Amino acid sequence: MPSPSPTDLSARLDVLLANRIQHLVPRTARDILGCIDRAVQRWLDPHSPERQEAEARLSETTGLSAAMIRHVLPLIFREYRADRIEALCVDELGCLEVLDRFVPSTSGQKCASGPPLILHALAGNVPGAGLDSVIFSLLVKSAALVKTSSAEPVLPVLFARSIRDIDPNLGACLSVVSWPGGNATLEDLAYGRADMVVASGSDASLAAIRKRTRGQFVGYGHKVSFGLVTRESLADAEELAHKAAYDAALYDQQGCLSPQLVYVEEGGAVTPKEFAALLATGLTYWQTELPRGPVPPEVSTTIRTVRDEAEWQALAGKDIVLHASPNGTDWTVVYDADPTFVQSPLYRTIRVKPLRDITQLDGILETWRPYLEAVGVAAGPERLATLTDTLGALGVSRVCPIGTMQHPPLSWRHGGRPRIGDLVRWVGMDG
Amino acid sequence: MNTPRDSIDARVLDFIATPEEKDFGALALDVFAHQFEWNLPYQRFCLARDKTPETVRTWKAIPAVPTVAFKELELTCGPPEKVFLTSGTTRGQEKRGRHLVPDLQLYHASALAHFSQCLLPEKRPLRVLSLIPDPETQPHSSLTQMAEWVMRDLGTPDSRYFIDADGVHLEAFAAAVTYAQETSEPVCVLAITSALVAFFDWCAVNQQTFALPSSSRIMDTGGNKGKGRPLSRNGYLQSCWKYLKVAGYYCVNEYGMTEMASQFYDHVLYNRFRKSNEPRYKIGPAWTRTLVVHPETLEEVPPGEHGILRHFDLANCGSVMAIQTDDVGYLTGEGFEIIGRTPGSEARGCALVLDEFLSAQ
Repeated sequence: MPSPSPTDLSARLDVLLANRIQHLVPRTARDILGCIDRAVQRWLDPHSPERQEAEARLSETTGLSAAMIRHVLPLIFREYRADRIEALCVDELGCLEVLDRFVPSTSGQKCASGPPLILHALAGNVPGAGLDSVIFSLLVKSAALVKTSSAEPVLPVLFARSIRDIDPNLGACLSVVSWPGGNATLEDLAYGRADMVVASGSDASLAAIRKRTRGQFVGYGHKVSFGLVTRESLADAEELAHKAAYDAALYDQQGCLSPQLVYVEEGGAVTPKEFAALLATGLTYWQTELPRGPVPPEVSTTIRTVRDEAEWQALAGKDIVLHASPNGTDWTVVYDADPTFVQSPLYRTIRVKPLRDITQLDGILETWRPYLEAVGVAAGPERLATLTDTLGALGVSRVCPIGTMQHPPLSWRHGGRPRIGDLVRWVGMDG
Repeated sequence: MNTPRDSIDARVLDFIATPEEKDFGALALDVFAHQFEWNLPYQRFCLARDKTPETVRTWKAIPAVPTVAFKELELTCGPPEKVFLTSGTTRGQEKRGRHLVPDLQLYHASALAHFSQCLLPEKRPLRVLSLIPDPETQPHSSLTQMAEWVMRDLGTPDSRYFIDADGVHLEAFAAAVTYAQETSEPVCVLAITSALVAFFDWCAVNQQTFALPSSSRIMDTGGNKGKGRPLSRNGYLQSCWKYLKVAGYYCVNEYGMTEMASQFYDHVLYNRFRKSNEPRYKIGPAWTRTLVVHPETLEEVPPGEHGILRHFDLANCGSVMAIQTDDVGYLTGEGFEIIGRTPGSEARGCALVLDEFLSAQ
């Protein structure tokens, strides 16, 4: 996609704002939701032209294998069906109609609306990331300018096309653009004119965007997630390891919800060291089912360094075990007795670390507090509640069963913030 | 009585002394067998790969040890005569690699023979001006050890260091350059790249330029790592000309590592000496080989294709001959060119030692 000229971009923003007044503001949220649902249904149909095109093109742009793309597309779009979005609205706003008119509140009446223009700056680490915000902005009747990442320019364009096909008027309130990072003229123009910017990316790129933003700013920074297996759940160690391997394999571990390591509590049916071997078996399975995509050379080297370090530390007598795919760097599991949290080079490189008891986590994760996102947990029901409290206090925004880390329900409050609620402004009328 | 070590060392020394028509591959396999027998961590590493002197039939198949291994274990075939330490990293906290060298003779013979070929092909002693830290400051640096040997055995007696425990003495270096200019005696400058860049900056601030006598030469090493001012290779060469009047073909970049007894040099000066017009790239001595392997598969890649460098050095007879680096490069001509270190892998090398000096000043 070529970069627009500043004049083109400016004109496009004018058109978006005019179309919003004409086509978005007068409609009901339910009507908009119906159109979105029809587009989403197409994406859930494996034979639709958009699914076919996405499957053909996304593997190349994202670096994920074709099998992975086929696997994740339905998982991405199933959460965008109308019933899920409406449930989220009810959860966060009380009802869908509050986006159209005043509805009764505890102290009178209330009404919610989105700003005229929301700019979505997508990160592109995994396909589809950020598409939910784009959908929400149409629902709250805000025109959406989507700036794709150079790493993943395809899916947003194809989705916008689906909306346009189904309802050209709604499609006219959504525009997808791309430009190389660092184009100060375009960035000043776009971030300066948007009433709200929703951005994902590294802390540095978020800070750069925030500086240029005139309106409200909602940022989703880089986060880390991990798995946690308690001793009482280790009776099903094999199945758990299989599921944890799935979490690590999905999106080749590129998501902020991908587990970077797995903590395993000691004293269960299998040892943490044995769990690492089971995780390796799981990753072998998923390599066949959902092969990893090609990796950049510097990633191969970094993974090799992780392996080399593990191998030589083991040779030096440390309590470390390396499990590595026979070919290339397809997957790597390192059992390391030192419970310190360390980041993974990703692309299916995962450490397993033992915990004497989950109460150790407090100390271990203290410095990671601002970066913690999700924890995939296997625990008995009696410990789950206290465990969730502990993790929540550490800054974790999502606790979920192992095996479901990568596909949170739409209702999950990403980063601990409301999703639709963050986009709207309320007007109350005393009753 | 001769030990097995003495006899293999003697054969490598003989190779270094008269490499002509010697069989690298045959001696490499013997060195491998020696290391397999005496370097027990290395033996375990090889056995984990089912590689033994019985199964390895060509030098290319000799298992290469990654540089991180030197941080974990003592990879040596015998008690060390000297231990060299890697310089650590900008992050500071990491363990330093240790290269235990049982027989310094090999190191000495290899380092001087190839330095001589690439920097002093005329075999005439020159005054050495060293912007590499002196041995008192850096007792465990292999680079300093080499500079020490070069000054003692290939330099004139008035050779000296300009980096010591007190820091980098740029004004004294400028004075030595002025003296060389006045006496028309060519010099050989040995420098950590960032020290020389600091000197260029000093020249710019003080509005000074110099003209070293013709045939003066500069060896720099370490690149522009760490905190120093970044300068491209072309920018560096232009500055050598602008501030010292040393032309590019007398500017030789060295690439070496603590874990290896032999070094690699740009062969520009050697080419000038033998009247060849080949473009600049790195060559190793006859007792080394370099393979470029794919970082994902570790399979050899064809000449010209980028990959990571794997070196085989017979002069490492007393420790490990085959070293797997993270350095990215490609094969060209009779040697290779290095592009850089893999982003994300730790920056290493003596340049960082110097950066600490520079930032402390």
